[in-house]
Amino acid sequence: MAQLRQDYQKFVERITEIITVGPEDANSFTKWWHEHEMPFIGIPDPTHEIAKLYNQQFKFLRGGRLPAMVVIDKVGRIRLMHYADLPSDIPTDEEVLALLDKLNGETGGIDNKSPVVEPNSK
Amino acid sequence: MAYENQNPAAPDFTATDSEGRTIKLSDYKGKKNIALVFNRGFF
Repeated sequence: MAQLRQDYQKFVERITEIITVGPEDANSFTKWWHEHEMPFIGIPDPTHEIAKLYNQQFKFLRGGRLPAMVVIDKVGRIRLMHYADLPSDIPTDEEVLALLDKLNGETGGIDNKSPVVEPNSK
Repeated sequence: MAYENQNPAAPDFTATDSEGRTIKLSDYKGKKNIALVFNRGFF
């Protein structure tokens, strides 16, 4: 999480939002989130609804207790799903950023019918 | 992983985040890529 926080701007530059889902209850999650000043979106999921949603459809979370990462492109398609066999076994930020560069290279990762409007572009 | 569709649609969800905001995954469609991180827990 600390590495993600450090690299957050690199994700922003790649037109990417980080959404983190955690198993804590809302109070514990929010307290931790604020204490660590996380700059991206954090969602407490104590009933594992979101984890189950992805587990049920893709059979990859194995109960939702090990870390996992899903990269979704601008069209809403899953382009990477990685679940960890070990708690430390997650893709590096460099690997994910390289994938995002590739996705953004695919005509911005979006079809021509839905042009992307960048908030800061002129 | 063997999928009939190699790039399946991400299941949509709506949830409340740490700031009390309603986050709907599909709101980002056509706007941003998403890195969805499932954390194993802080404690």
